[in-house]
Amino acid sequence: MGGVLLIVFIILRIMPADPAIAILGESASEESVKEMRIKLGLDRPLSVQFFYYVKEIFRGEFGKSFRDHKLVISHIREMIPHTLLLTISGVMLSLIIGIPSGIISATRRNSVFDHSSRLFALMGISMPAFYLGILLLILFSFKLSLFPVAGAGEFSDPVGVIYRLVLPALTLGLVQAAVVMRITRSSMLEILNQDFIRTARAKGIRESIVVYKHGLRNSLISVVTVAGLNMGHLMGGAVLTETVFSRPGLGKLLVEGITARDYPLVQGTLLFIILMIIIINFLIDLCYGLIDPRVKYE
Amino acid sequence: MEKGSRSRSALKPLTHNWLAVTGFIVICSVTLMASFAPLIVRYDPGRQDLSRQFAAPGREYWFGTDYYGRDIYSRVIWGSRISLFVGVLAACFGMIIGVPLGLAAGFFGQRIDNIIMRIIDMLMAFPPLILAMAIVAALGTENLANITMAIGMALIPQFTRVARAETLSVKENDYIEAARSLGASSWRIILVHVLPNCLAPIIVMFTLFMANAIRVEASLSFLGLGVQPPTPTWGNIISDGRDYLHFAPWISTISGAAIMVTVFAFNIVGDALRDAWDPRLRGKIR
Repeated sequence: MGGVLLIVFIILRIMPADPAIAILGESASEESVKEMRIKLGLDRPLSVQFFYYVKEIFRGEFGKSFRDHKLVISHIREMIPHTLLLTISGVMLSLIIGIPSGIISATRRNSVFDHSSRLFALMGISMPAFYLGILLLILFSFKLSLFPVAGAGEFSDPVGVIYRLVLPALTLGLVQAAVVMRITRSSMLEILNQDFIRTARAKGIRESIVVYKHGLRNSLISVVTVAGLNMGHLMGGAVLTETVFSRPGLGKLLVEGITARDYPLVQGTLLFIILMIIIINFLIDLCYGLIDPRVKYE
Repeated sequence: MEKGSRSRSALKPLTHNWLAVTGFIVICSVTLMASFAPLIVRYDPGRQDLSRQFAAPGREYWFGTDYYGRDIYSRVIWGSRISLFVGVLAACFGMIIGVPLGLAAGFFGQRIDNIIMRIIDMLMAFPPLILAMAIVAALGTENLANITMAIGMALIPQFTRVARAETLSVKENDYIEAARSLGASSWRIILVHVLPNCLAPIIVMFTLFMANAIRVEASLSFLGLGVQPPTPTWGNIISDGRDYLHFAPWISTISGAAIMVTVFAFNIVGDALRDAWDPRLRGKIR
C-alpha cells in the first residue's frame, strides 16, 4: 500500500499543467497564481508535500478538494454506496451467467452451445463496456422504453434504485460474464479429466453430482481467483458504465477530478479504488478456505 | 527440420482455424483502411454541413452524419488511423520497456529481480484503464504522444511479468549452461539465447495487449481524456453521439462496432497464435 501511495503521488506531481492556473483560469495574473500556489501548498518542496499528503491519508481525510474545499473523503463517502452497489451487482450477474454457461460448455464440449457460447464470450471480452451500455440503452430505454436513461435514484426509494440499476449492472455483468465463462469452462475441462472424476463415474454416481459436487467444487478456486484478479477491470468498467448512464460514483468523481485538475480529489479517489481492489482480493483469499477445505491458513 | 518448414508447421494450426483466418483478414483490412484513409474517405472528416445534420445512413452518407453534418463514414475511416497508431505504438512502448525489465529480473534474479518485481507488483495493483487515466491526468491530453505513452506505461507490468516467467524457464536449459561455460557474457546470453526463445509468448501477448491498448484508447477518448475533438477517434465519435442516441443511434453504434470488430480480430488471432505456439494451452482457454 505504501508503494501505491508513492506511485500515485509521483504520477500526479509530474503533471505539466499548473492546478493554480486550472482553478483561476488562463487569464489570471502572475501574482494571483503565485498566491494560489502558496494557498494550495504547491510552493513547498516535494518531500514536504509528500509528508502532508501521507498525514492527510492517515487522518482519513485524503485532503481537501481544490474546487469546493470540501474534504475529499466526504466526496468519496457520497459516491461509494453507488459504486459498491454497481460493482457487487455486476459481479453477482457475471457469476450467475458465467458459471452455468461455462459448465454447460465444458460438459457438452464441441456442441453448438459450446461453440456459440465461446464465440459470445470472445465478443464479450472484445466489447468495451461503454459500447455494450450504449447498445442496451438504445434497445431497452429508447426503443422499448423499459428502463430509465440516466441517474441512480435515491436510497430512500429502493425500488427506484434497483430499477435504475438493471441496465448498468447488466452492462458490467455481461462483459465480466464472458471472462468467468471462459475460465469456468477451461477449469472444468481440466477437472473433469482427472482420475477422481473417472472413479466417481465408475462408482455409478449420478452425472449431475459428478459435475456439480466433484467437478464444480474443485474448479471454483480458479474461477474465484480470476474473478478477484478481474476486480481491476471491473473497476475500470465501472468508470465507463457510470459515465454512460450518468450515474454518480467513484469513476465519475475520478473523471471530474482529472478534468478539473483537482490533485487531492484524483489522488484520494485513485487510492480509494486501489484500496477497494486490495481489500476485495484479500477477502477472496479468505474465501479459499470455504471453497476448498484442504486450504489451511497458518 | 528446415527453418521454412518449421515456421510453416508452427503456423499450420493457425491456417486451419477459420476464425483466426477471418481475424487476420480483418486486421489486414483495417490496416489497409488506416493506411489509405485519405484515398478511401468520401469527404473531409472535419467538413461541416449544417444543412445535413443527423442525416440517416443512405446513398449519400453511407454511415449517416452527426450534429455538425460531418460524414460518419469518413470519420470512422479516419479514426481507424488514430486507434491503430495508438494501439501499435502503445503496445511497442510497453514491450520495449517491459520485456528488458522482465528479462533482467528473470535472468539475474536475487536483488535485481526483487527491486524490479516489487515496483511491477505495485503497478499491477492499478487496473490498466485507471493507471492510464492517472498518467493522462499527469501528462495532459494535449498530444497523441502523451496518450500513447500513458497506455504503453499501463502495459509495462504485464509485459515484464510474461518476459520474466519465460526467462525463468528458458534459463534452466542446458544450452544456457553451455553458453555460460564457453565464456559468453550475461547480456550476450540474454540477447542471443534467452530472448529468441521467449519470443513466441511475447508476440502472442503483444497481439492481445494491442487489442487491449485499442480498447483503452477508445475508453479514454470516450471519457474525454484521450485525443481531443475535432480529431476523430472511434472513442470520441461514440462520445459525440451519446446525446443523440434516441434519434441518431448510428453515430455511436457504427464506430462502436468498428472498435469491437477490430479488438475481436486481434483477440482471435492472439488466441490462435497462443494455441499454435503453446500446445499445453491448446483448446483449454477459449
